[in-house]
Amino acid sequence: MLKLFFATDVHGSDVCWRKFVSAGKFYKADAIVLGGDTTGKEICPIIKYPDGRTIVQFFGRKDPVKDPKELPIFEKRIMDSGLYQYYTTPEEYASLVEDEDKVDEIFSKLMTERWKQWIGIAEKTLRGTEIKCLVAPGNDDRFIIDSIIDESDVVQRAEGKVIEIDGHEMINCGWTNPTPWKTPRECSEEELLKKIKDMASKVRNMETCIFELHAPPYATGLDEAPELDSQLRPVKGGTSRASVGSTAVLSAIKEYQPLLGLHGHIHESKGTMKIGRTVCFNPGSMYSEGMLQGVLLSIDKNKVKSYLFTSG
Amino acid sequence: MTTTEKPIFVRRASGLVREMDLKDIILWNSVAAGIGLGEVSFLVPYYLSLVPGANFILGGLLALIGGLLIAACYAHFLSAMPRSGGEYVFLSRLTHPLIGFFFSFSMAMLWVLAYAINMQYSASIFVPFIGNFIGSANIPLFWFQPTGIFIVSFVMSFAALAVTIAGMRAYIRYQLIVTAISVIAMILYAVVLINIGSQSNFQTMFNNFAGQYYPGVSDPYSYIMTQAQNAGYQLPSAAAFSFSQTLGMMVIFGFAGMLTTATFSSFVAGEMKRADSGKRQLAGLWGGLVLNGVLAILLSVGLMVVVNPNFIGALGWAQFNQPDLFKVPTVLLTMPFSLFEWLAPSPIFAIIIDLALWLLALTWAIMDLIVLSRLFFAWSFDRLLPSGITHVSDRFKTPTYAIGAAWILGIVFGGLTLVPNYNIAALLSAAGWLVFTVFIAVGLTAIVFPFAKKKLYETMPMKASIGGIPVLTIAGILSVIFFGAMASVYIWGPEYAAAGGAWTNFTTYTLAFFYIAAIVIYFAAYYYWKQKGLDLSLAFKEIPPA
Repeated sequence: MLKLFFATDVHGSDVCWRKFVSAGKFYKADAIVLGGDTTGKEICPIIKYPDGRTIVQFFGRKDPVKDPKELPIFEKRIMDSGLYQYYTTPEEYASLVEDEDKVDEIFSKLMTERWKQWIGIAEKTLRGTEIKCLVAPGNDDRFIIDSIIDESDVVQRAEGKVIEIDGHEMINCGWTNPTPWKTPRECSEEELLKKIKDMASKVRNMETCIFELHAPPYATGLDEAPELDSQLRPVKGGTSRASVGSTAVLSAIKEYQPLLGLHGHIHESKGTMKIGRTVCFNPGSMYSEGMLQGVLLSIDKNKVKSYLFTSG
Repeated sequence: MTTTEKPIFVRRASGLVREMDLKDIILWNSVAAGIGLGEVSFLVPYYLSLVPGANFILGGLLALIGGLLIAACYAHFLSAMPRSGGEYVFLSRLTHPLIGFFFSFSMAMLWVLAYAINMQYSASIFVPFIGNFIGSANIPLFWFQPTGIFIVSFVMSFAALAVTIAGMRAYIRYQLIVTAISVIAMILYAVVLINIGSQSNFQTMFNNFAGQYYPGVSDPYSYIMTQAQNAGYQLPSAAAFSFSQTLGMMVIFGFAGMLTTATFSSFVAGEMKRADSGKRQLAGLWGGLVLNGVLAILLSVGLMVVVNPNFIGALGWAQFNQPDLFKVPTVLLTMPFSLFEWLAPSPIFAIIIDLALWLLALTWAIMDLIVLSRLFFAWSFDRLLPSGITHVSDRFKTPTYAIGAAWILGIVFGGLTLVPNYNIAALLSAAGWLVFTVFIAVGLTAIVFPFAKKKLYETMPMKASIGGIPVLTIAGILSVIFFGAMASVYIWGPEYAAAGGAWTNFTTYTLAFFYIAAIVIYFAAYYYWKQKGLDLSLAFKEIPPA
């Protein structure tokens, strides 16, 4: 019997990653799988002024650092919330406001640094154990992180591959259907279906196969998000919700009927749904609170024997 | 995925959709206690016959303060974990799943009991309501007796089931209709009071009406008071102010719905729009509480201005202690409204007031079904009940299996009224104990949570501090003191607790059964899943970071 822990959408949260790599031992799992969107979405500038003042711009607030000893505390809060701390000067900060390309460059640098740190933590924690650690970057993740993960002999990049875990083949796709934000790994539904089919064609036994597809299947309750207008503002203050999952993913699951579907992408849509024989899960995400949401599965050869949603 | 909405502790997507806006939540909480109207029939007779030395308004305000305090604790937790399921959701996650289930299960039993009682009450109002049209004398006595009432309640329970299964959107429309009818009934209530005008006019009008029921008695009004006094009734006007009786009044206000109102929307917290807003959760809870409390006090005081409290007290006293003195036709606990029915300038007044009361009682039963189904759903989602219960109907967006299970349980409890020596009053006492102890548990959690789980507390959408102490902790301390005092009524003033039913051995056995059942169910689920390779106790444990 395979005991598998699946979490997703940690979005740069340092503490969530640390919890993820500990989850194998904690839940006595054979394998831990992290779905897509591993990188953060926001830089937190720490501005050092010539007069000695330091201001941290954290979640829209400007917090003065009264004592240098407070800085590590600020840094931890920033990292745990999934943000990237960036030390700068008032002059550079002013120039960055006008320079999107430069900010983009800094983002890539910070993502790379954090992923390198994460690989170190994972290797220290998991080397010598039997726990398999798989990560499949998602639509929000830039391609630069793939090569960093590939360098590790402990963390395995699963995206775009068919991976075997204890006799179960698992196809992994971090790509999603189009989003309003034009993220790095998104494509049309047709292209997405082709990517999934290409991998599915390599699967020997669909009865025991796991589909780890970042986008949730369309209109299944695993894909409800606030409806947005053309300006990307939530409609009716966020009270209007719409299905934003993938029709390609739904269609692939209906066609291939694998054992299990593991999804993420929509943080608010934690839940489970059965599509034919396939049991699909979206454990949701609360990364900004430092809480690692996941689902712990006990899987027999061709049956999901039990599952438990966790909030670690 | 990138979203512009900050995803904080948002509920699990489970097919339940968010239908309720702030107005609906305020009404939900307020209707749960009768929007003031439903409470008058309970508050006034109990006050005047049981605690005549109490300061009525002070007792009401104290109960209101208690409600505001515990509501503040709930609002903090609900905004952080906006899921349907009441205190189960946050107690299980912040303390231990067993503790959450233990208190939640015992509260659920209370709601099953409440469903059965409310259906019975609704049926017992419905029968005389029909009497308005065909004449009460034309209704066979059978329909006023327990078996007849149970049959009527069973038939009406299909209506409750239909409204519940039709989904929250349908319920909200229904709730608006009930509210509108209740508002009309309250206006008619005021019109009748104005029409009566004074206590002396009331005496004349009552005697004209009641003479037929007291043959040979020239002044039934004075006769009832004198006879009640001779049998031990103490005139409220002669009672000196008593602080302990005022605390007793506070307990009666609590039983009359003030405390239910304070937390009722927690059971549907996941169905509230923008449920992760602390201000919204607080506004929903406090709004319902204040609306309900103010109306209940105003309607009660209005009644006691126009109708001599000594007389209402005598009627109430007779109702409970000397039923043979109570010859005028009415149903237990609807007596104040019966006064209006008897003395209203038009029969249509009586029909509308009865209709409002009947619908309110039926609505309480519907709410109990909704609450129970959400609890079953929450437990099932956490694997404590079979997962089939989490089935949500695509058509209605409601957990139909959970609703069906709650409905069947309610019918079974209702059927207990047919059992000889069934002591429903003892169960009411158990209900009071359950509410107080759950609130104490929530208060204790509120006290320690900001310190024991500091990191989680810091991410809560609703947090403030006074002098460096979190408001949640302060509200928790005051709630524990407040509800500790209320729970202690069973020791220092059991006669006041008797407003919710006397404590008997039957009460103790019932509570013991609920508590043991909760522990047995939890461990049965725990070992069942353990044998399948899952440890339920890990569900909400924090993983130590590497």
